[in-house]
Amino acid sequence: MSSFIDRLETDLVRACDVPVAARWSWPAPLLRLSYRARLRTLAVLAAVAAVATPAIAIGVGPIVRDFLGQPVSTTAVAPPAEQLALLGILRDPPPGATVDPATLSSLGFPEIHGIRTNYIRLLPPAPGFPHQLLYTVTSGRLGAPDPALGEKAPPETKNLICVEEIDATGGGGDCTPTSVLTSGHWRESNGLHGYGLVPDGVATVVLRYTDHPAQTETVTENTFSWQGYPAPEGPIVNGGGHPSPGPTPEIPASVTWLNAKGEVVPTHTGSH
Amino acid sequence: MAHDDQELLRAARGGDAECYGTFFRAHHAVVLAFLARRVDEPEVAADLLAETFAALLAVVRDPRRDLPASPLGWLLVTARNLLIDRYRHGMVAETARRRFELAPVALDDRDIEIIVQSGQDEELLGRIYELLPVEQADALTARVIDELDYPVIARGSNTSEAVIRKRVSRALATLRAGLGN
Repeated sequence: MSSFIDRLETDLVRACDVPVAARWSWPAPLLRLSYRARLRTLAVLAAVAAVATPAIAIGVGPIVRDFLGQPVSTTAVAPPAEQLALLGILRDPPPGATVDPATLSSLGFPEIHGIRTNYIRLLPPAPGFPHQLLYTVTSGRLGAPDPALGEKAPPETKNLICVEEIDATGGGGDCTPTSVLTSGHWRESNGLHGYGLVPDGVATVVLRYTDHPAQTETVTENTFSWQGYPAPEGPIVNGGGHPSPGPTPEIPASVTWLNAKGEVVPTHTGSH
Repeated sequence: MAHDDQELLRAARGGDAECYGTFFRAHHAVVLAFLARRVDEPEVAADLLAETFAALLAVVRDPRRDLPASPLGWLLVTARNLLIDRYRHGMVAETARRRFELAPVALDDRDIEIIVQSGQDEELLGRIYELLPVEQADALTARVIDELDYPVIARGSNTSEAVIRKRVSRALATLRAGLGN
């Protein structure tokens, strides 16, 4: 007696073998209507479409797809004033930093919506991060559903700041709420290479470690980078109980922002 | 291996339907294990499994679409997205199955036992570790499969939550780019 796996395989092979014919049928909601009612409904839809189509065409931006090939919506609307005020590279990009949306032809992040196509910026390159783009989106779902919290789907978070490495030789990238930036936590690593994002007004950052000397890095166009220290030797076990031999950089124990005068710029840790 | 996977899918696209069966036999256990860990009802896991492979078949049958660079990664991410949609809509999508007129999945006691056991299958982890660098695989499995929170994973890995988030992101990017081939 065959299992459902065997039956499914048989069905899939059969489906793979059958020529795909263009079939047309009434959409399911219309099937519930009489033939004359279907025609009346289609006539109304056609009339509405004739008016609406030009408006839709204006609103549709360049097609961007995620890595599954699914289209991602875009918008010409500007980011919120808060993000523009925080990131000069968004508000007033240096020459060559504005990027054509076509560059985002295959996004690495699923489940984001409303890429703001007029605000895609090329970030300064750094070792390990040769070609990173900064863009913002109207919303996105972060992480996975958490049944322990009663979540049936990941919560939709509005106004995310995204950084994406588009060079296959590089690493990094994430979509995060603005609070991650203002809290001073926006950092990423690729091996021992590190990269960070800071708001306007931060001229240098001081990275302090538990077991190593502090590092002072200069900020360029809202970004900074550093070369990290190797973590202490020893087995590292991840949350799933699987051994992870590394390499894992020792992360900075703290990051201090300084302005051009060398004064400390406070971070906003309450909202993260 | 992902390289062979792509050859199988190309052959299936070229008309060799048995190759899709071979591809299914190679990966159904991994995808089913992934799903069985996430849902309590075997019937739902079976429906999601069928829809996931039917969705990939839709890609294979459409010559205008590129075949995924990492077919197993594609299957796992698609299965996860279908699972999220199922949570959202209260039912498993059947768009691809309807398109190919696949028979509804009917399970007997033996099938249910297969699904329950597959939820404890360690092959899934092994395949992910074949595809990804170990630090990315660690982060991805801890977050996506074991469903641990970022702070918990970070503490267990002796690193920061931000680093873990980046590793998960990079793991997805790696699957996208086919670097695990």
